[in-house]
Amino acid sequence: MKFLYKLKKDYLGILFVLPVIIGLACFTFVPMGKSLINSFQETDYATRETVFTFNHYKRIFDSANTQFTRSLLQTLLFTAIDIPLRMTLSFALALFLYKEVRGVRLVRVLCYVPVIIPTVVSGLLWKTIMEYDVGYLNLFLTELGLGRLTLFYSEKTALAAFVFIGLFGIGSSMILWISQLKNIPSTVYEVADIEGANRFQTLFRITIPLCGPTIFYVLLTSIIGTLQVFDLAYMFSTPLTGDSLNFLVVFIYQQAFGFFDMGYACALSWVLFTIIAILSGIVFACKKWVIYGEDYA
Amino acid sequence: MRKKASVSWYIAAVVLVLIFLLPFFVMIIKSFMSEEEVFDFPKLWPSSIVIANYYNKAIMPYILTWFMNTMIVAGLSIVGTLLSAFLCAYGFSKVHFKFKTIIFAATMASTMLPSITMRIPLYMIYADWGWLNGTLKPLFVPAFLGGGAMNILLIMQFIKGIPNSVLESARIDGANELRCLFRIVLPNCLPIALLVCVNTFLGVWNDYSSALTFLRNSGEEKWTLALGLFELSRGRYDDEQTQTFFRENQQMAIGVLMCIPSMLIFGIFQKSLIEGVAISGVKA
Repeated sequence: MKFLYKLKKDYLGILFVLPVIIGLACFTFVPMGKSLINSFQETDYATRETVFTFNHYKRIFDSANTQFTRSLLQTLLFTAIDIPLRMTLSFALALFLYKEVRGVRLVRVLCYVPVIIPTVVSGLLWKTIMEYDVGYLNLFLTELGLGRLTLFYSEKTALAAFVFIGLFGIGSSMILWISQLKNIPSTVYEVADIEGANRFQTLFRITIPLCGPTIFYVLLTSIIGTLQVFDLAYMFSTPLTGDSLNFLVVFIYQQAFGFFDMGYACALSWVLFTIIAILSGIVFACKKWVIYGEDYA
Repeated sequence: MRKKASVSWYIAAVVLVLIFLLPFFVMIIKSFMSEEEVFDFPKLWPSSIVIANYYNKAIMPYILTWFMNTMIVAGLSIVGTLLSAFLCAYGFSKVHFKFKTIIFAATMASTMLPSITMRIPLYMIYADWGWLNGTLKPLFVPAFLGGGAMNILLIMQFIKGIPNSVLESARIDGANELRCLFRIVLPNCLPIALLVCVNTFLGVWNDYSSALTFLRNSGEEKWTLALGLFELSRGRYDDEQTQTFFRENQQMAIGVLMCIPSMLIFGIFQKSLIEGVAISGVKA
């Protein structure tokens, strides 16, 4: 009896978390393992044999493989442009909207609306607006006499247009900044004011450093998320945009489900995982630059 | 009464809102335009409001099917997520058992894994299970088994607010753990349960990459709304009347239709949604 009781005490909890254990095993860890194994295999379609091989990885790191390198560079370029831009703009927006004045709640909600629009609809919408001939944006610019922008019809400008569209989603980061900004006690600002700090100094020496935890969190999640951008990029990828929107996940997707080259795709996705892990590690290592003090859970 | 801001602030705020909502307005305007006007040179305003776009007989049956499919997936996902996320969150926070730390660490780690790495082998696994032909299972079954680690974390934050003494007294009175969960914890966690419901619904509604991966072989009857709209925009359903790839007015109409439930849910629950984003940092 006592043994049963001890059994129950120690292991009952496992029953509660059984769903997540099964789920993690089935839908996360087993696939990851299978993916790793697959990346080292090559199937000969004629004989249906699978051989252990490094070929996929060799192909990735082969210097003649411009497709992967180009995709990687595009992704890194996009990340390098998009993340600072989005963080700065959403922070500026939050600074503008965090004081509780009449009507500010409505403005915040309205700024959050573009985040709620489904990705498909958003893509469709922007395709229409940015259409070269009859899209509203170009028509508007022509009216002003500024000529037309090629946007998604040219490889060179597609990325810029894509970044622009992404900026409409800064509402979600804005919410995070606002809750962090509200946590800064007003006494800090009062003291700064008394000591004679002007607005720039207040901003850069007090407000931003005190937002450290959120900066860390937003940076980390942004890097992880932006390196995996897929939905909109896949929608906008046409022969006209060439390779410019061919980010890593889009590229992997095409290899896996366009060419059915599963082994190569698996190897690529593990390379992506490694890149994400390394960058996340770097951000974590820099954690102490932005988070001071003890507990910032 | 909270204080008013300066006039210039309000002007700036109005401009800001107009900028953010402009694409949305464009969508609505275009959806009311008739066929010719869309490609006719730029009308900012339709001369006659055409509601016919919303009732196109050729497309409607498909839209309804897709809508049903999306609702099925959403409903099942919500049920599954609530059940399993609550069970697991309760297990992690209030019940002590061996290996808890390891399992918890594994759960946390799973949020950081890139989804594409799992999606490719999952495709192969589902192919073996027969889940790729004409079924919606890949989209909702994972919800029953763990319901998303982010949700579990969110609920755990909330459950921590329930004092242990309440649970202890319940146990002394003879309730087993399940009773503790369903009679005490759950009623107190209604706000977070609501949030999880709303988040799950919005996630399913907007999701398109899972549908793209797992439903591609299944034929049109099994698509979700997001996937259907995407395929429409690629021009698979243009009929003889138009030589162009897409009929913008109609796509805009369907787009507006697709936005309506999201907007409704958002409008009703926006306060808790925004609070939830602030707590968990997860995008809607």
